[in-house]
Amino acid sequence: MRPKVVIALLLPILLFLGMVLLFKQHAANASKPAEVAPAPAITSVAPTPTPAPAPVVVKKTVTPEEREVAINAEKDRLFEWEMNDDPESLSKILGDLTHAEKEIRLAAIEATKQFGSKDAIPTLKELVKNTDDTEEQAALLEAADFLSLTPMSDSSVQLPRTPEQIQAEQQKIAKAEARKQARMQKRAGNQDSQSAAGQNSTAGSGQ
Amino acid sequence: MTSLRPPPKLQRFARPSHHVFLRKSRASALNAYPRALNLNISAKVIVPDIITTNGAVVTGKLKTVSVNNKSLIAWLNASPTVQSYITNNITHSAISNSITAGSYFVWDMLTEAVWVTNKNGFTFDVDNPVSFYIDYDEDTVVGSAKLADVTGAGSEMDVTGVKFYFDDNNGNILDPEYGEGVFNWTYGAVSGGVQQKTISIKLSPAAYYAEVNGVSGITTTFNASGSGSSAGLAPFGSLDEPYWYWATH
Repeated sequence: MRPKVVIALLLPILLFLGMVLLFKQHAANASKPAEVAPAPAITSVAPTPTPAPAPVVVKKTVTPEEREVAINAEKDRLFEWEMNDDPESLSKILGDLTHAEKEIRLAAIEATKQFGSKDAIPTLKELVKNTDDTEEQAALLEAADFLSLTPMSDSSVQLPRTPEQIQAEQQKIAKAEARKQARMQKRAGNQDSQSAAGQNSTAGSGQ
Repeated sequence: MTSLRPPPKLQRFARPSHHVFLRKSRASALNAYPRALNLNISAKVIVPDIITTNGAVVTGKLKTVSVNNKSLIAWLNASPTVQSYITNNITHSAISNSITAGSYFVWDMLTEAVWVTNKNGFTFDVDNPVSFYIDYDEDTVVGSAKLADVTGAGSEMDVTGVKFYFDDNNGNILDPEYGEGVFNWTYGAVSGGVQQKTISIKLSPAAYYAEVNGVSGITTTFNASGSGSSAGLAPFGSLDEPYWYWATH
């Protein structure tokens, strides 16, 4: 065969093969998901990946009775701490203000009142922001207000009275009683005179 | 102490006969329940503060003071009546004539008296030498309860009227009138005939009369709270109703 004839025959064949290869490559690219930005549709239909198995932790279930006993035990401890006067006890009480159990938190709020230190006020006020429970918020604020008052046990309030003071107090009470009696007598006298005048005027009008 | 205040009302509510337990005596039934409750008391009291005279102008002021357990113990310790009682009646080695620091109050629900005690074993009924009690009205109790038939476990909330009275015989009186008292009971499951029972209380007597150093005042708020527990023999078997429900029906 002449070279011209051979070229004429091979050229269409090579062109055809080239086109087939291009078509196959295009088809392969179209079926492969884009690596940079995966289509949301494909992501949403993909099966949920199975989570890695968590390590097995043996957790003892707390019964309601055990929980109650634990709460009571902590409340008893609070009761002991609140009667002390040392910073360590106050620190323990303040620590229970953020306890997981609400019953203990409320008991701790009461314990701050019994402990009676103004040092607890900033913590009580700060914790108001951390809860949405209105009962707890009210208790925290009430406790802060309570602690801001002068305690009755303060020496300025609880001064022992001298005999002179007691005597003065008794004289004051006696004077107040005498003034009261005088007022009563005066009032009774006024009523008598008014009623007498009324009777006279009634008698007069009747005539 | 001379005072215009009328004497305290010593007559308390008598326990009606229908409160006597039918199947067991009251004493044996109550022994299974917590009857001594740790007690926290807090109150605000308005008292006259300062009276100053400047020429013809007299100025009087009021002061609000706080009262808690420690205040009450301080009052009791300053009371000659209490000092004398302790000296003559308490033989505890750690006690001379006053209540030691760290002591606390417990309320005996059966007698309604308040006791003072501490971990050393020192204890006495404060309502004996002076007046210190919390009265509750058993005639008017409302409540809700939920109790499992099989296990006996459950809870109950009762509301009644409560009154508080404290007088140290030394010029200091707290006398709020009847107000709300909430009693929350919790009953554990009966196991081997034993049942865990706990109670927590929140008492809010109505604000009323007070005296501080012999001078009249007013309690503006008054609160008492407490709790107690007992793990004793199940008193009525697992099918019985809670204490208050049964006691009042």
